[in-house]
Amino acid sequence: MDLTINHFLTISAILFTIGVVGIFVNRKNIIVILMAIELILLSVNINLVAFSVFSGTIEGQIFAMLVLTVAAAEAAVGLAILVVYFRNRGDIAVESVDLMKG
Amino acid sequence: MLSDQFIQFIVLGPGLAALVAGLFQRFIGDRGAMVVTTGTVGLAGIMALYQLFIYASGSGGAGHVEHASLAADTGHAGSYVGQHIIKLMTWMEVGQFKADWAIRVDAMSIVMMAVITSVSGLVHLYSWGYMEEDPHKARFFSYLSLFTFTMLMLVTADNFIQLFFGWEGVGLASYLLIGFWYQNKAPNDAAIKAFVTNRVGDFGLALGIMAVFLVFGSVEFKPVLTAIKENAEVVPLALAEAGNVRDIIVPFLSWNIPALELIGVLLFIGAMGKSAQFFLHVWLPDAMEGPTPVSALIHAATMVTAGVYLVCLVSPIYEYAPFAASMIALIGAVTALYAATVGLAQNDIKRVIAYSTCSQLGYMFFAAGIGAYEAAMFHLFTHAFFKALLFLGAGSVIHGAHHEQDMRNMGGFAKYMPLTYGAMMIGTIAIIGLGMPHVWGFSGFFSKDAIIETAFAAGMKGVPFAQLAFWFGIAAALLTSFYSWRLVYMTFHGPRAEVDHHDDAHAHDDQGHDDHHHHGDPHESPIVMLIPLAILSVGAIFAGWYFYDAFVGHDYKAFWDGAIYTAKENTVLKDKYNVPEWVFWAPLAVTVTGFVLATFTYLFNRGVGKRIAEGGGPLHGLFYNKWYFDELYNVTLIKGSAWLGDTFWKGDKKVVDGLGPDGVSALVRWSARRLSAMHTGYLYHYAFVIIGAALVFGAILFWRSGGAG
Amino acid sequence: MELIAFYIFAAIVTVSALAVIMAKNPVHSVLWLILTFFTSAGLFVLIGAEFLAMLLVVVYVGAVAVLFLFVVMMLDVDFVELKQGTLRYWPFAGLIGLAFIAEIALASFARGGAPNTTFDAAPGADTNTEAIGQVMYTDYFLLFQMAGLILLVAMIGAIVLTLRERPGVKRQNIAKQTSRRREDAIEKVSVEPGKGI
Repeated sequence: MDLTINHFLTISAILFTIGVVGIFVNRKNIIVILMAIELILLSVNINLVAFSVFSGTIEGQIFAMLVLTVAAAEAAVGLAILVVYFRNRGDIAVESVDLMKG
Repeated sequence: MLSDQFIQFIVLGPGLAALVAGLFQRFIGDRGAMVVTTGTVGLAGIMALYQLFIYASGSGGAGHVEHASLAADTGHAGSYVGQHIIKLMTWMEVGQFKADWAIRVDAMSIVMMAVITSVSGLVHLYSWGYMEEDPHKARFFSYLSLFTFTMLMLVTADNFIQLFFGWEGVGLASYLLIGFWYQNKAPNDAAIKAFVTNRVGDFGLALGIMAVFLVFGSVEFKPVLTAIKENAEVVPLALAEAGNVRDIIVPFLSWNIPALELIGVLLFIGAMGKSAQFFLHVWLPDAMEGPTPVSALIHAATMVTAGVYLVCLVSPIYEYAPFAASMIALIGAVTALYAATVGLAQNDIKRVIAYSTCSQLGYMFFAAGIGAYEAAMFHLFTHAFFKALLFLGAGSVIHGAHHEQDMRNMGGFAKYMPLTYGAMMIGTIAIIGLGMPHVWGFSGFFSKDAIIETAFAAGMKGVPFAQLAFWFGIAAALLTSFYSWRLVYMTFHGPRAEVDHHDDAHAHDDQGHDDHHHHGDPHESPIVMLIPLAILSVGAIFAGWYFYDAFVGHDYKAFWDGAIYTAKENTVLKDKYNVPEWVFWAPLAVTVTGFVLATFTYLFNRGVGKRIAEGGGPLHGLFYNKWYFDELYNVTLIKGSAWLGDTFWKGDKKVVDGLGPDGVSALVRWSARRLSAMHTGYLYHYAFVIIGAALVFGAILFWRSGGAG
Repeated sequence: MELIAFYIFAAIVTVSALAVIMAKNPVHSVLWLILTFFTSAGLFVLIGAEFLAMLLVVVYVGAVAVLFLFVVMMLDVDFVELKQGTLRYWPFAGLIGLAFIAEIALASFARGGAPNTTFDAAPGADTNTEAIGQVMYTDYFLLFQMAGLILLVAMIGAIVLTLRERPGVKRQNIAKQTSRRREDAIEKVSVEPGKGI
């Protein structure tokens, strides 16, 4: 069979799910959470580009570019927050982030 | 006939004086307040008495000239004869409901205006001497004038609403004056008791007025009473079907009550409260906590007679409501006898007179109940004078004995205060109704005998309870004579009693009393207190004789001139001339019997009374403790209401508060504690919740948009 | 031909994504992430969106992933052994994952009609880049500028968050230097011979 949009939609769905699961199954450290978020954004990108290409409009790709930009910005700020947090707490295990308990 | 301006001065002047004395005391001083109030009320009294005399002379008494000037002043088309209304101001006009501030001038209100203002003026004057040492004189005089004003508003009302205003106003004035020495507990309690008991009656009165409005569509006297007299066709606003007034039936639950009976009973309940009739009488003896001038004015001459006045004013209702009328007769007769029995055993001089008042009011009511409204008003008229005389005389005794009120501590005062002694003698002779039948007597003789004769005449005709009323009246007359002479003997005759208990259980009215008087001989009162006694004595001796023909005698129709209405079948006032001869002599006989008994017990063998009292037999106990009415009410009504209030309060706390604010807040606290366990603080829990919510949200969107395809 | 390439790329992407979240060593996680990015860039090239593919490589791999690597190394994170307890979350997580996939699948494939097999990554122009260029600076230039603004804000934010002043470090203060006046700097003192200042 030929390559259709459904293939790309499927792969996008799988990546998205992996990213989502990664957020709350991970117990090791916070960086993995940030990486999982990048995966989610990547899957969204794939989706957008696939739609753009298969319907012959260019807007999808423009949107994907902007998503890229936002993802980069968010990764930068997120990591900055992480660094400051590490300076104050000393470790980045997910389980010790419980200061808001109660 | 006085012109409108004078009549307005008579009615409104005291109100203005009360305001001035009450509000501007710091500018005009106590003296100024006393002068303003006494002057206004005194002037009003003179004018009102003048008005009464010229009205009476025009229609009866000394002359038989037909009285035309009243009827000529009416100016209303179709108004009934002999009434003149001065409209002051519109008060309320809501649809059909119309009530004005107005002064109704007819025979009834002329009589009452004269009584109220003259007695009030004399009491004002008397209080100059009696309240000499009181620091709050201005307040006292202001209240007295306030009372006078509201009572005048009551008697000159041309509609039920102004009457109710006056009714409540005199209740208020009574409360303020009974509790005048509010710094002590006993006057406060007495004032509250008076007001609350009155309130029970007022509730009945209010319901009656509402019933009047619903059945007749108006609260003004003229339309209502005219409709009853003519048996007109009325269309009630509610409660009953349309029909002729006398036949309208109000269906209530499973009973069918004639409308006039319902209204009559309800209005009488109001009269019961105000006039201290049986069941609602408990406040009158306690009202003696107030200063004696107050007792004289309010609880003897005027306020307590408001009930009698109301019943006589709406006489058309009772003419066609036989059940209500018989109820009035019964309660009046029972009160007359009951109060007389209790008055026998009292030791406080004021309480004896208070029960005497209660008993005489009973006479007035049973006279009204058997259809002799004119006789009731006549007795009201004469009673005002001699009862006020008795009270003021008692006040003079109390004042002279340095605020001693217990008769057991008195005795032999005749030589210390001869003028007071004379006045009390005149009052006593008046109240017992001493007189020679068919010849002459003191005023009580004329009025009380008129009542007793009409009672017998009505009994002959078969009016319900009239025979009972007759015998009760005779018995009460005997007791009246006995206790009145007992009072005189214990106070003025005999040896001086040992003063060993100064702090009796009964409160003394010794407020503002310094102890420069505490010991020593009793003395005569100052001249300001003796002048009213003298004037009232004149009234007590001659008022009955002078006005007999006008009120109940041959000229009564011309005198009343439609102000009191009696049905054609009601001929008791004429029938009283036709009773058997012994009926004329019976009152004299019992009066003399009572006199003899009292003289024997209290003058000749002085210790007998004391021994009987201390013997403490059951009859004495019953009489002394007022037939245990206060205790009975305490156990049933007071405790019952308190229990009911408690139940509602606790129930309210538990149920309403529990379900409402308290319950909700407890629920919130409980659930918050449990819900706060959800804040684990763990990032992955939060992330999980976010994902889960996104899932659910997506599913909802998916299903909302119509599912697959 | 393209289908085979697609399947290879797809397999690699899936495996490396799984490895990102399951790797023990965080540095390994980052490296697997890089592989994921590369492979998806390949996917983009497959359907003709080469500009975006290159963008992915330059920005994601070249900047974001490197940033991740920097932070991981800077923070000196320890190895964390796979704890016994974490295993029990996987079934639950798997359930959630399946739910997600099912939902997405339902939403995506609920549309009827035959799927499109032709693709055109460069509508209205010759190359993909040209197509993007035609609209980027004309119709969507405002968005372009805003993207720049976002990046600026992120940069400022990151600096503000992490900048700390170390005490005791000597620095130049240019403003102070250039605003120095002769009166503050030089003081004429008459010195007595042999006495000193």
